[in-house]
Amino acid sequence: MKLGTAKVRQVAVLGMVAAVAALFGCGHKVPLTADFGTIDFGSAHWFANEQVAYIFFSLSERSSRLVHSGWQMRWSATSADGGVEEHAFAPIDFNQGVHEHLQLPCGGNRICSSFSFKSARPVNRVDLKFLYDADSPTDLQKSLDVAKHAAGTSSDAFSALAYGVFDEPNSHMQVRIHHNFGSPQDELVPTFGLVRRFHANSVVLHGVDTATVATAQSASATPLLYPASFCAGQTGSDDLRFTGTSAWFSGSLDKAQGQNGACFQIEALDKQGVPLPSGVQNSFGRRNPEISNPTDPTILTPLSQTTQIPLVVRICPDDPAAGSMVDEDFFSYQEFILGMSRRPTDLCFRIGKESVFAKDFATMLASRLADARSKATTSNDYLFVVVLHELFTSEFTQIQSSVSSALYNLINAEAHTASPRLVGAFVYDSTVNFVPTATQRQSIIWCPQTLLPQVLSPQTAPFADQNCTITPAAALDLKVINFVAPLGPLPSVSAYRDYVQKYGDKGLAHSPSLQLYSVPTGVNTLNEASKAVTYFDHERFVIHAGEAARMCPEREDKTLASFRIRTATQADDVAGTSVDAINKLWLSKDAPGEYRIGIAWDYPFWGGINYKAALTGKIASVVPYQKSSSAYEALGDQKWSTGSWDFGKYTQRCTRYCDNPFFDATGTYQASETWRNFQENSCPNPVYPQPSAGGT
Amino acid sequence: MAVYGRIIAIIVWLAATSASTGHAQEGMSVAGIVKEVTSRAESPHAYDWRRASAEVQLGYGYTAEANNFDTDTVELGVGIPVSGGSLLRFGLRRAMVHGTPSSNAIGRTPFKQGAQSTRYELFGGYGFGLLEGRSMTRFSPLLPDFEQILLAWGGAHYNHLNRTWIPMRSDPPAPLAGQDPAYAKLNIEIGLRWQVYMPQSFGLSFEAMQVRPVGGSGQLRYWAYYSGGVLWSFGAH
Repeated sequence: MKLGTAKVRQVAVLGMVAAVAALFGCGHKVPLTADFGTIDFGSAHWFANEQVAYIFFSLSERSSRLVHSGWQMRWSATSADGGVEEHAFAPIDFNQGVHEHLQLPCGGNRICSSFSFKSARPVNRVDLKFLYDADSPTDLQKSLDVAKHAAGTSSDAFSALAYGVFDEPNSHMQVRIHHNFGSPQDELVPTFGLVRRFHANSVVLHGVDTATVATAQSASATPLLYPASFCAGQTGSDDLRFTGTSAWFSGSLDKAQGQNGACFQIEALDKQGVPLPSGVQNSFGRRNPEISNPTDPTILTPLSQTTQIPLVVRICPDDPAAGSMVDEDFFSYQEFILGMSRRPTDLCFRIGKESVFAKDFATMLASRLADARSKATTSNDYLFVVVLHELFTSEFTQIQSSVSSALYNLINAEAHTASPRLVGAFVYDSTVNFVPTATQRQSIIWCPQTLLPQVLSPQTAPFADQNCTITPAAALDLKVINFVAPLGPLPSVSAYRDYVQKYGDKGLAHSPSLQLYSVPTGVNTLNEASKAVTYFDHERFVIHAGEAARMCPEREDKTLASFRIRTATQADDVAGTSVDAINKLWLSKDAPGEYRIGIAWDYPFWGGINYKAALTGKIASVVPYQKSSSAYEALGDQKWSTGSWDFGKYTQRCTRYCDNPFFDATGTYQASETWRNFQENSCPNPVYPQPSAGGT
Repeated sequence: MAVYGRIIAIIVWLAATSASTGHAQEGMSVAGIVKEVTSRAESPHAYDWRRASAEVQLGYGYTAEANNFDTDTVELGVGIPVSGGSLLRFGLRRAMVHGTPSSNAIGRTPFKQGAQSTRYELFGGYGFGLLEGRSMTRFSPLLPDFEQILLAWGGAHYNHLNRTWIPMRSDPPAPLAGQDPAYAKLNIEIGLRWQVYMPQSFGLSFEAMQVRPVGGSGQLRYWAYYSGGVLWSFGAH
């Protein structure tokens, strides 16, 4: 086809016009789609005692759609002749309820509301209808089955349960209302806008025993003890009309009088103040358990100074292998760090005569111990401090084994004797090839332990974590690179050589001072379940008559598990009680008495080396720099690092009303618990209600 | 249907006129020559939009969704003439969606209607020149002669929901009363664009487009967009 001919032009023009027509041919309207809300909750109750029906409902719908909306209700009841009495749909006038009702937003696009109406006959069914517009049939509907609460004297027959609570001094009582619908739950009822009025009066102190409380609780089927039948006939003073769920009585109740609660009377009113048919009922409020968090007793550490018995052991100079079995630099360092520089060798060993050495070493230990005892001027325990210099391979540990065994045997022989006794040993070996047995480690500190090669890098700091010491390595400021961290006081010979080779500092640590303390043993040291327990005579925990106490494990700070508790008269062959088991006794009626507090331990000593550490290096690899600082490497059982223990802070003491409910840390009244029977493994930390000027 | 009938009548008439003009050309009458010169000029005498480096346009528009909501737009665009009498154009458009008494009334019922939300539209497209030429008005010389071009337009825009005027934020607006929010990131635009250039680099633009979302956008399947604006050209001779 040739372009430009009349026919082609006609087709082109037609095409353009058709395209324009198609462009504007978008005439389809966007449809409306249904977007109905829901009546997402509905609950209905009828109480025969009150002859009032309650309905609770919530609507999930946008507030913009509620402008012209309305609610209608249809309900049926059992007629006098047993038939069904129908009430057709009619608008709900919320101003005409038995009680005051509000429509409240209750989260999201939800509106919560309630209504109450009188019905002398049981209400069987309620149908709710929400109209989007009063003049429109567009609606939402929901049918509600009615929970019928028969007349009676148990709590289920009442829609409101009244009970009393006290302020912290136990001298003022607040009356509280529990909304007893079940659905919705008590704490949610106010969100449905139900506001009720009550009249409470005739407050009088009244004491009840636990048996009476248990009987009343069983009869009323509520821990709130409502209605409180045991208050019948009790009359007193005060008169209070209030709206809402709580109000304080104006009068004060004598704290000195020991009654554990107070009775009062209450009646439910309609919104005009007219009493409902449920009439006047007795209620009871229980005083708060009087509890305290003592700080006593405080236990001071039993540690005392030890008398150190120094020993130096190395290969005999006449042994053919002596030349390769000594590193004089490191040997000097070992003596230096333990404060026995230039001390002559106390005993030497020979290769191939290890059994002779073992025997000689044991004999020397006994001799030196006896010698120390004969020269003693104090009652300190004794501790062997041994420099063991050897360069054996990792396969040969016979000498080390002999040293460790001999020390342990001698220490173990005095394990159960009273102080002064041989309490342990500290050995500074040259290598990391030998590790004492677990039993031996209970009384022997053997250094060094495995040092990883990377600890020599300035970039890694946790020397102590890899050493026989327990002190966490000091935080070193290595912001300026090329600095060398100090090695620590107790390196192995190989670590020592590497350090000296790399950094040329033979001093490593300066001005060392080894201090070791031990736990004296005596009549107060008992062996319980393979642990030694030291009891303290002068610090006792006392529970007086009528009182109770409980341990508070939630206040744990890693010490609690070490405590043991025993009565003052408990036989020594009966083990003490651990803290997690003592509550059974302390919360019982047998709790009153004096208790001895003990600390269980595995390792009897604690101490460490004070020394000066030097951080050396070059700033920006050029300017030499050295900074010294005092350092301390701890040895032994970290448990003993504490100078004193406030045992009392782990306890809570109850002096009165221990069988009453309590307030928890959130201020919630734990009506179904008592302080004594509270099963949680913690101590209540109550937040009490306070009377305010408004009376609520 | 009446509208389509009229369109068909116009098409038939145009076709007939086109055929008779062909015969007149064959006669080489003076009137025919003058018409040919006017409509087939190789280049305008006073102004050539093709030689502009770029043009900036500020416009106002209306997005005609077939629902009960109103959408006003303002836009800032840049156009670049390309060879062959075509135009590349891109820019940013702010679309502001309002409720109306009708949509508010829907908002009080348990129904809702699909509608887009307040947003930014980042647009771009290509215009192919269908018709162009130089025209003079009846008010000449009071009004200058002008250059005009009708473009077939195709493009797309990217939606960025944002209730605030700060484009970088991602702050989707809350649904309006009665609104069933419709949203598609990418939308295709096709339509016509008419641009009028004055010799002083000042001009006007008008466009009508049909917009379709790529992917679902609820009950909103397509809508129309109309806009008008003023433009300034740069680098024209």
